[in-house]
Amino acid sequence: MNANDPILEFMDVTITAAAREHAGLSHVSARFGPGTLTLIQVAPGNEQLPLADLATGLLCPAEGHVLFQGEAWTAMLPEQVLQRRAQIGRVFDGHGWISNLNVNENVTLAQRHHTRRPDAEILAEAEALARTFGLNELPKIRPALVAPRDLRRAEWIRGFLGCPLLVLLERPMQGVPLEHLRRLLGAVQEACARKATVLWLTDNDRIGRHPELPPAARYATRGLNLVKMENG
Amino acid sequence: MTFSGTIGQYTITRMRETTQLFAVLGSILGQATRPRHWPRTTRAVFVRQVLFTGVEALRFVSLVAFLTGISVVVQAQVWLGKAGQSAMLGSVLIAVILREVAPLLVNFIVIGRSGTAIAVEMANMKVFGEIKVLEAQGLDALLYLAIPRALAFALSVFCLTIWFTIVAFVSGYAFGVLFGVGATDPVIFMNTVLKGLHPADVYNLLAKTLVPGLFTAGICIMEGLSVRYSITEVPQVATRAVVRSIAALFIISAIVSVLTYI
Repeated sequence: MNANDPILEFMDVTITAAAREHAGLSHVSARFGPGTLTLIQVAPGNEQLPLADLATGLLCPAEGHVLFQGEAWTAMLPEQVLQRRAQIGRVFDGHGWISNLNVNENVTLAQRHHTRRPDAEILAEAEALARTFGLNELPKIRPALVAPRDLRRAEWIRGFLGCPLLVLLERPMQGVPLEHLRRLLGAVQEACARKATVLWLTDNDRIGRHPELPPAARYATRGLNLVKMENG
Repeated sequence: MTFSGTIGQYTITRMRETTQLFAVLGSILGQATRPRHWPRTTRAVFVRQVLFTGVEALRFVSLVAFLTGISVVVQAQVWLGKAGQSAMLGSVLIAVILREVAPLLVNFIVIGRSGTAIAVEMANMKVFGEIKVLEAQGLDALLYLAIPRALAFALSVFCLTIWFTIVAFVSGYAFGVLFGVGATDPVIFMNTVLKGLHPADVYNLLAKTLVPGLFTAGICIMEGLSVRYSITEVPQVATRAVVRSIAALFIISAIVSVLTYI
C-alpha cells in the first residue's frame, strides 16, 4: 500500500435499512485518503446512517465492498479484522460506553488490549488529551455518573488516543457546548497533519461554516445516496 | 405446525444451542491453555471475576458449610455411633460431603450469586449496544468477556468446594465434641476422614467443580447474549440461565458419579 492510497474506500456500497438499527444506503462510492477531513452532512431523520459501522466492518454491505487500507473487510480473517479495528478511533452516535467500567478504564481499554504500551504512558496521553479538550482530568467513575457534556468529551479522548489511522466522529458535538468546538477542531487538524483520515458526521450546519474548520471534503445525504458537495 | 413438527423444531433448536455451547466451551478451553497470549485486559477481567465469584462468596459459603457441618457431620457421628459403625465415619462423610453435598451446594451458590449476575450483565450489554462498542474497538467478545469469566467460575467453584469441605468437617467435629458425640481427639477424627479418601474422590472433585463451573458460565453468557432489543427480555434470560445451569449441574453430577464410582 502506497502512502497516498486511500485509508478507507466505499465501492458501490448498498445496504438495506433495518427498522430499529440503521438507515439504508444505495450505491455509495467514496475514497478517503490519508491526511484528509471529510464532513458528512446528515439530513434530519437520517441520523442513523451506518457509515461508521460500515467503515469498521461491523456491517456487511448487501452489495459492493468497503476497503480499509486497501483490503475489503469481508476478505480479512477474524484476527485481522480485530487488529485493523484497533487502528480506528470512534466517537459513537448514542451509547458508546461499557457500563461496568469507569470512564478512564473505558477510554484506555482498546490501547491496553491491543498494545504493550505501559499503563502509565497510555494514561498520561489520555490525561494530556483531556486537558486539550478542556477537562481537568479523566473521570474515574462510571459513565452513568458523568455529566453528558463531559462524557462526550471523554469520548473524544478515546477517539484520538493512540494516534489512530482513521477517526470516525459521529455527531461528536451532541450535548457539548459549541465553545468547545475549537478544541475538537484542533485535534482533527493534528490528526490530519499526521496523515490520519477523519470522517465527521454531523447534522449541525454551523460546524461546516466554522472559520477554523480545516479544509474538508463535503458530502451530504440525499435520500439513500451520499452526494459530494462543492467545497464551501 | 403439527405436533410432531413442534417436537422436531424444539429438538433442532435445543441441539443447535447445545452445539453452540460446546463450541464456546471448546474455544474457552483452547484459550485457557495459553494464558500468556491473553492481553492484560483479559487478565484483569479474570482477576476481577475471581474476586466477585470466589472471594466475595467466601462468607456465605462458610456459613452454609458451617451449618451443613452441624446438621450432617454431627448426625453421621451420632447415627454411626449408635449403629456401632464408627469405623465407617470417614467413608460416609467423604461420600456425603466431598462427593455430593459440597460440589452441589457451592455450584448452587455460584449459580445464584454470579450466574444470574453474568446473564443480566451480558443481556444489558447486548441491549445497550455495548458488545458493538467492544467489537468496534477490535476487542473479541469471546476473549474479553467469555473466557476470563468462565475460567474464573471454574477456579472459584473448585476452591470454594475445598473450603466448604474443610469448614463443614471442622464445624461438624467441633459440635460433635460440644455435644459429646464422636471422637474428641482432632487427630483421630482427621485420620478417620482421610482414611475414607480415595484417588477417585480427587478426580470426582475436579470433575464436579471445574466442569459445572465452565458450563454455568457458558450457559449464562450465551443466554445473556441471546437477547435482542428489549430490556424486558433481561429477567427472562436470567431465569432461563439459572434453570439451564441447574439442569446442567445435575446432569454433570450424575454422569460423573456414575463414571467414577459404578
